[in-house]
Amino acid sequence: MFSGKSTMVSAVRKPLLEQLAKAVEDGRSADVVSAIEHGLDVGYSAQELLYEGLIRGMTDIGIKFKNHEVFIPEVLIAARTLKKGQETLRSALIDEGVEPIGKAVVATVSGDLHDIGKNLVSMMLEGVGFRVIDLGVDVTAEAIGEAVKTHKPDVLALSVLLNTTLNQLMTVISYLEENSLRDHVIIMVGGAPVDEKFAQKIGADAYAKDAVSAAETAKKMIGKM
Amino acid sequence: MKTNIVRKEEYKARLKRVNDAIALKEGAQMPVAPLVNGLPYYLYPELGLSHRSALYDFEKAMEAHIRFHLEFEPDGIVANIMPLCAKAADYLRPTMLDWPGRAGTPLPDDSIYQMFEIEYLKEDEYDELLGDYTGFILRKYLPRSYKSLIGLEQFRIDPTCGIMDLPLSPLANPALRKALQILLDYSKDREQSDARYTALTDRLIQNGFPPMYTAVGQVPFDILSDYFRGTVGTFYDQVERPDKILGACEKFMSVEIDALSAQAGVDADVKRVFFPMHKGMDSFISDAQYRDLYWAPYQKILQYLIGIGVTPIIYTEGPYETRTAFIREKLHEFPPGSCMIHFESGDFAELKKAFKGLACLTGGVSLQMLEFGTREEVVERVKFLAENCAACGGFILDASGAIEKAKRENIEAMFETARSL
Ligand code: B12
Repeated sequence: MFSGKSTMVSAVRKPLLEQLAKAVEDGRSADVVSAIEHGLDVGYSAQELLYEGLIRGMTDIGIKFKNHEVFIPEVLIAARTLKKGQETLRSALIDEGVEPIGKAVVATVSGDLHDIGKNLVSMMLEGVGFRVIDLGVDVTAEAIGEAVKTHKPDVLALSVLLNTTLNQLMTVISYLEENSLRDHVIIMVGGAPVDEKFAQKIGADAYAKDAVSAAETAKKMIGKM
Repeated sequence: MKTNIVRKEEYKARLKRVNDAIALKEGAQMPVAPLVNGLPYYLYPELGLSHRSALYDFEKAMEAHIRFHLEFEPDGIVANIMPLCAKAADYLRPTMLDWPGRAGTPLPDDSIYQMFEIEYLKEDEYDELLGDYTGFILRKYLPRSYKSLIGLEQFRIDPTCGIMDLPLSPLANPALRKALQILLDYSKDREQSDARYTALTDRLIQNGFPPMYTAVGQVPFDILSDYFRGTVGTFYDQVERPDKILGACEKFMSVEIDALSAQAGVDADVKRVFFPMHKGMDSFISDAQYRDLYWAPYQKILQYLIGIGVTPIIYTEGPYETRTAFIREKLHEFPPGSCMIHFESGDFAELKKAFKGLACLTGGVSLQMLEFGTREEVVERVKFLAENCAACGGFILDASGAIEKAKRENIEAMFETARSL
């Protein structure tokens, strides 16, 4: 029965994407690379390998993290694997003309060197399909303003971990206002000393408690969810 | 030599208040002992102190801390200053931190010193560390953590010919000699700086303030994460080589017990070891790894200290909600009142219930509230803690972390409210 062919293909297709997602979740980089290479060879689109494979895996681990089933180490390892997978897919994505869902600039504010939380936020944003421009740590308001001007991101995500650098969030927001850059970007803030109330008080657009919610919120805010 | 205490009555009263709380006695007055870092520099601007000048002009820093104690009269020495020797650090050139006043630093004068994390122990070097601990520390760890000690990489003894001085002949090495000379200078500077810190403690004791703690320790897992592998390196190891982590933690445990054994012979009114706990918070580590890698080696240190009459201060940092039940269970292995336990956040009424009859609870007032909150909020909070935590004993009022900066009126409110109840 020839009409059964396409059913058979999709039955085979699913397991490969599932395997890919699971390999991201488990942090098995070598398996991710070989699944992608094999997938591309046998006719999968880069887009489905990205969204239904890599990003699904990252989303799954994000959910487990939120439910306290896995912890930061497992999420970091999955994120490292995701990166590896994205690198493997890069040229295929360009060939297919796959566009990210949005652009995000991410930074830890001036005077603050904590980057673990910020990196997780970056990875989770990538994990839901954003293109992320990560400015690193200890980034001044001027440098953030410059990046907003150059990259025109949909979202600006600012991380802060110290009480002594909390006021830098205000500094950045006023700098953007003074330079007429504020209205074009959604500002999200986060980090251990920040809460919803504080975010509102300083005029940020959004706050999220953890990296998974940060990515969900960002997606919602740009109207992609 | 024991310090000559001038204000004996106050000293005794404070010591009793704190000891009663540790012993979980009911009905005693709530002790107030918030640890402070830079707060006195901030509260007494007339002294013109910053973290920078405090590092280099210890006498002046001492003045500020003494002033704070005399003004607020905490129930013990709350100056949570580390006995750093900036003068020596200038020439040791540590790679693991920066501080205000260091040549070329971008740090402003009012910044506290700042740690960085570097993988001093690479992921494939665990076996080397465990196989030859001293050799690794001497030839790899020290040269990596202090730029000026690079010559120690060459420290070798030649066992092939033991005649006369020959085994020592590899010491004829200019780079090594430079490093050894630096260690000699350091030895002298360290001695002087120790003497200055002892002088501060002595002056506070003379003025009637007993120490809150007499030594500092760390959880072996934190030693690994803070000073050897870094937070991120350790995160990876938790998944990829947990057995290596355990091996290193057991090694650090025995090294630490050895170092803390000096406490056994000390003749002092107070013997308490302060354990700030950095990398055990809720999302950092699974319950199973917390139990096996984080706590198990630590439990042995606690057991040792309690056995020699020392009170450990279990100073947890970060969110700790998922750990409470487990810690409670572990503390049941010790006699009631053996430990003090501090939490940065959480529901203090619930925490009190959890540790009632087991360990003295400390903490309660958040740093955020002290810096950004109102006087009324502080008053309310202290009343809440007095009622829900201190009423049945076993509680010491403290902030959620060591205080850097706070509104003066909030600090006043914290002490006044506590004393008025
Ligand atoms: C690891 C660590 C360090 C490491 C940093 C390593 C690194 N590469 O980042 C080192 C040792 C270098 C360090 C240094 C210091 N630290 Co530190 N550090 C920590 C520690 C233990 C964990 C922070 C962390 O990585 N958490 C894990 C991540 C995943 O969590 P997170 O950052 O909160 O991020 C999550 C959320 O907040 C959110 N999020 C984060 N960013 C953003 C951004 C957006 C937009 C959104 C929506 C969400 C979001 O998502 C993340 C994932 O779910 C905390 C303790 C704590 N309770 O947090 C102290 C802590 C932050 N450090 C502190 C201090 C004081 C310091 C030092 C000053 C200490 C010193 N004297 O050296 C220096 C300062 C250095 C500097 N200038 O920044 C204090 C800050 C107190 C305060 N509130 O002011 C803390 C709270 C410890 C304490 N209890 O005293 N530190």
